[in-house]
Amino acid sequence: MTLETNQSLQKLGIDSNNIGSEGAAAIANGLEANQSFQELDLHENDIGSEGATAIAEALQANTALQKLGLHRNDIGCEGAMAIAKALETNQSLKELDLNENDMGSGGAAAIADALEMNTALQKLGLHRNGIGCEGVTAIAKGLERNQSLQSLILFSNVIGSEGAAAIAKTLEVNQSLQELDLNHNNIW
Amino acid sequence: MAKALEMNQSLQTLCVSWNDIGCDGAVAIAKALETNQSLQELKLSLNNIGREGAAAIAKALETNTTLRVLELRDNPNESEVQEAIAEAIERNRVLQPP
Repeated sequence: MTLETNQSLQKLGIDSNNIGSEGAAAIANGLEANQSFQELDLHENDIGSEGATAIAEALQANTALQKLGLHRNDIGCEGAMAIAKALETNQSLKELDLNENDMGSGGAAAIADALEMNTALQKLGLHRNGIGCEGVTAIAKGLERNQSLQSLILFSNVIGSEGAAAIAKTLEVNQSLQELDLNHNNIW
Repeated sequence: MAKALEMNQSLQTLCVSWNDIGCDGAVAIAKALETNQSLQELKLSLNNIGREGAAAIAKALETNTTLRVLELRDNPNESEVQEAIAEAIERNRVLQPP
């Protein structure tokens, strides 16, 4: 795999290429050794939970990647949990796009736990993930300790008024968040 | 959310469009805007805030000097909403007309 030896490439965009979990695993292998790579966009590639897990494992060793796009890859709860585990140790990733991945409240809760330990992530995209009130309440708790996240995108997650109240309560203590998107969430 | 806005000093952009916060929600947010000094963009489109809600937001704009972008599209009584906001914009020197 070229990525393992290449130390000059900084951005790779192979979105909408149907690389699947195997393709993601190959990229993950390269990512693990590569320390020059800063941006990776894999949106709409059907990498699934297996592909996300492979990328997550690579993120535990990689210290260079700053921006990762996994929008619409059906990573599900399991994939989100793997990414969350990586976020507990990875302290270089600044932007993570997990929009439209059907992670549900379980996946969101795992990401929330990671946010308590992570000090690098600045932008997190979680729109349309079926997070619900329970998931967003977990995220709110994670944000109470997090001091790095600046942008959180949660639109279309059916969080409801109770979920919005949980996030609001966090805003009373969190002083790092600059952008919060709660559009289309059944808040009344 | 409104109470949080009174205490929070970091949030610059808040998007709560396409919910149903209604008049009461808008009035509460308006009250928060009177003390909040960080929010620069507020998106409240499609929220059924009504005439009273819009009037409250408009009144808050008379004292708030940090908000730069305000979205209130597709709320009922849109013409009245626009009128109230337009008057407030004239008095507020920071917010820029779309």
